[in-house]
Amino acid sequence: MGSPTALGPQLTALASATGQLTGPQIRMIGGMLERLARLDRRQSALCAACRLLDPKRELSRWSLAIALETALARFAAVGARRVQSGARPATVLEQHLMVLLSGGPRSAGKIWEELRDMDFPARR
Amino acid sequence: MPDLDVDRYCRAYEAGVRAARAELPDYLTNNDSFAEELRARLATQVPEVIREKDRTPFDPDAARRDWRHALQDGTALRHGIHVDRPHPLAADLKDMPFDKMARAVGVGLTTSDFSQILSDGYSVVLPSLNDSNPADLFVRNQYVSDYKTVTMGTVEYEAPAQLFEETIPPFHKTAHQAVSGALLEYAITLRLSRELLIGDAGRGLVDEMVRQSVLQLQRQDLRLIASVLEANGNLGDGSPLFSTAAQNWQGGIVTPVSANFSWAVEKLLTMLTPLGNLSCAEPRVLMTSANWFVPASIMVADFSARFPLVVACNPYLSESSAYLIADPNKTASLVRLRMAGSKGPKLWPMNYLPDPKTGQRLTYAGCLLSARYLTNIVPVSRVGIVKISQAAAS
Repeated sequence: MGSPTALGPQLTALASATGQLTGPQIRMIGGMLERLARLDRRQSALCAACRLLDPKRELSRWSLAIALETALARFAAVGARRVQSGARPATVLEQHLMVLLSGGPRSAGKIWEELRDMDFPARR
Repeated sequence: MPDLDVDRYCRAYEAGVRAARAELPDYLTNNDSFAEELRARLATQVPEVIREKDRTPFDPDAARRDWRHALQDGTALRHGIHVDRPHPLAADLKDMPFDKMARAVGVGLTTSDFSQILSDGYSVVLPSLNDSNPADLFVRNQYVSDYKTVTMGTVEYEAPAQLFEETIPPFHKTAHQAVSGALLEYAITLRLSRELLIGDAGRGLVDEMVRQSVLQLQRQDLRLIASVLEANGNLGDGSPLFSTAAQNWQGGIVTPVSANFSWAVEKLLTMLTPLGNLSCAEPRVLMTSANWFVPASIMVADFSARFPLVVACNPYLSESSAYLIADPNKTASLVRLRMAGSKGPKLWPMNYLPDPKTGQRLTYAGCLLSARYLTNIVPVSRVGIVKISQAAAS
């Protein structure tokens, strides 16, 4: 499982309070929560980017995935470096694209699978 | 402290990280009191896990839109139409029976939703069918935005004058013939019974039904062209479209021969416009009746190497008649009205079946589609068309 994380001390405190978790279990839960946090950041960014790209909700998930792939490729080519170097501020969409570029798939096929698994935007 | 949505964390936990969950010991995941305690502590102590509340309202149509896209791409692939980036599910849907499709999308076979999905699916096939409309050779398209009567015409300028230094450009005479027309709507109702939609055989039959309905509607253009030319109505100047006085009709021909064709070509090129200009309309299409198709093809065989001429048959023309037509995009004599943005027949979903006598809404155990075509043919000028026929010219 994952290595000890920033969540470790808090979980340790939690474990000492409950007295039920061992060290390896705490590390495991910490790693899981880290992954959860990454997944949630990515999903939030995906949702927000989809909302910006398709505000009227007319596109299918596949069209959205292709639009996201194109936007990511275009931004990664030039804009991302300029934003990271501080040459210009990122737009709202670019802020979300930065999160998506920081990890996870960039191809339309994989993004479509993510959107489908998220059931975006039909969250209950 | 940032607003922490614990419910959202729980949803993400349940939906997104099944693999991580599987790695947890059973007592952890099954221990409700521990899980509740963990959530409670997370809510106060680990706010960085999730910060924002999801304010996205529920959108039940998202999955349906995606299925529609997949069905469109699948239908296109099924008909051999190139799709740039097909939907990942398109290949699987290519040969899927309609009832399974409806189940996948979550709509009933006899609902108007399914009719809508079907018409959306086949909408990608229609452009390729519309490209093969035989009437495209004979007419120029004029796009209109509604059903109102529109006025068209041919505008002509006097011959240009040469300009010399310090001369004032002269005013030129213009002449126009105004004609008017409005869109007509034609429709074919496709009744897809429930039995047809269930099972493997139905898909191919429905494909053919759609194809034939579209082709039948396209032939309406040929019918209209034939009726307009045979009617020989008056143009804007009050004279008929074809007449011996206008020297654009040669009658009394039993079988067309080269001499007739030479006469027609000469008249087409040298026909005088109302302001006395030569028409200079090069012949592009020879439209013949069915019985003259072969004789006309033989007649122009010697000329076909000289200039590009298409011999096309319009079986709706009366027997023993032919029309030599110039390039409609340069010298238009027939104009086809079309709704803006449309390139041919379209499919529409139908909610009910109207009784042909009473107009009453009848229920139908199946899916209803309507193939509709908005078109009309309007003759705008006698320049650019010459007629030869067995019937005597008037």
